[in-house]
Amino acid sequence: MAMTLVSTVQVPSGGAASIEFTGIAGTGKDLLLLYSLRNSDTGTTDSLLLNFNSSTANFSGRVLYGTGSSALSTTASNDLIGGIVGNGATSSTFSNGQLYISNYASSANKSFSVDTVGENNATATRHAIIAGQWANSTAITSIALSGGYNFLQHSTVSLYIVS
Amino acid sequence: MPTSTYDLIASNVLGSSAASVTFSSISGSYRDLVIVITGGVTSRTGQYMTLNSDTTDANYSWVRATGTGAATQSGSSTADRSISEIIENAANNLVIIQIMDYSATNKHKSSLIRSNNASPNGVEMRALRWASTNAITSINLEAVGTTWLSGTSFHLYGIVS
Repeated sequence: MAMTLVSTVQVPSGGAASIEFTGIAGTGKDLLLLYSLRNSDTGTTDSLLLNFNSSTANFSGRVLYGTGSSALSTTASNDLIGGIVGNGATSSTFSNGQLYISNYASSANKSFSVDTVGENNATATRHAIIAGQWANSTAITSIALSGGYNFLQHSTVSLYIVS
Repeated sequence: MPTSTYDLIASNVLGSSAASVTFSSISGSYRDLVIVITGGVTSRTGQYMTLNSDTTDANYSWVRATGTGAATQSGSSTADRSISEIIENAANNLVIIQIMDYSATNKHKSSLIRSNNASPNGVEMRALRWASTNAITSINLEAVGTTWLSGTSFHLYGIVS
């Protein structure tokens, strides 16, 4: 297995409404996205949204998460893939995670796996793993992350092609 | 030919049991660090990860969820360096620790940890936060009050950014 760094996005001081990777070559087997994110929501957490090829349709998933007191499971029927730490959370905390997309250039539906934590303090932290699917036969050539608010400076996302 | 982006930084396979293993002088040139531990401990009394020699438990917090094969559990702590509840006194444990954005000096450090003990304890996912904005340059993995078994391997990888 070899991994090739496609690029790393570092959000500048002015923030960014979304983080997007475009023109992804279909030369690999899988994709890996590593992220560390915080946004300007005045609350402690916001929803992290994912789209492929500018599509937010046909996403589905199952979520397993720990709250600190319970281990729970739910469904994800849209493009929600976890939380983003908001600016009302403990300072210097970021949500961190990895998104692994298999067979991204194939003509089959795309399966992906997420392992993520939305930090705040231990009593409000959620750690989740997500089994996701994008029911679309088109090769993935772009990926975008967004939320309801701007990503803040020091947020970073790196995209790798696994071959 | 693809550029290597998943580099083995250091490796330690124990020739005899040891109370702890330390990786030091870690370069800040990667995005994330990954530690893979294969093996076990002499006694199931817990394992600590100490970053930059910071042994102040109040600087660490975690949340976990565990599946035992028969039930699910979750727990949390606001003052503890533990990396797992399920590592057993046998050699069939696998622990993968991914430390995210470890060299950033403007954020706390989150680790995503997966512990696997197929029998009897199950699988655990854990997020451990070190409340420090310092770049991580050393990692100590301690078998609390006991030892890591001889033959246990510790591999440290860096993911290029």
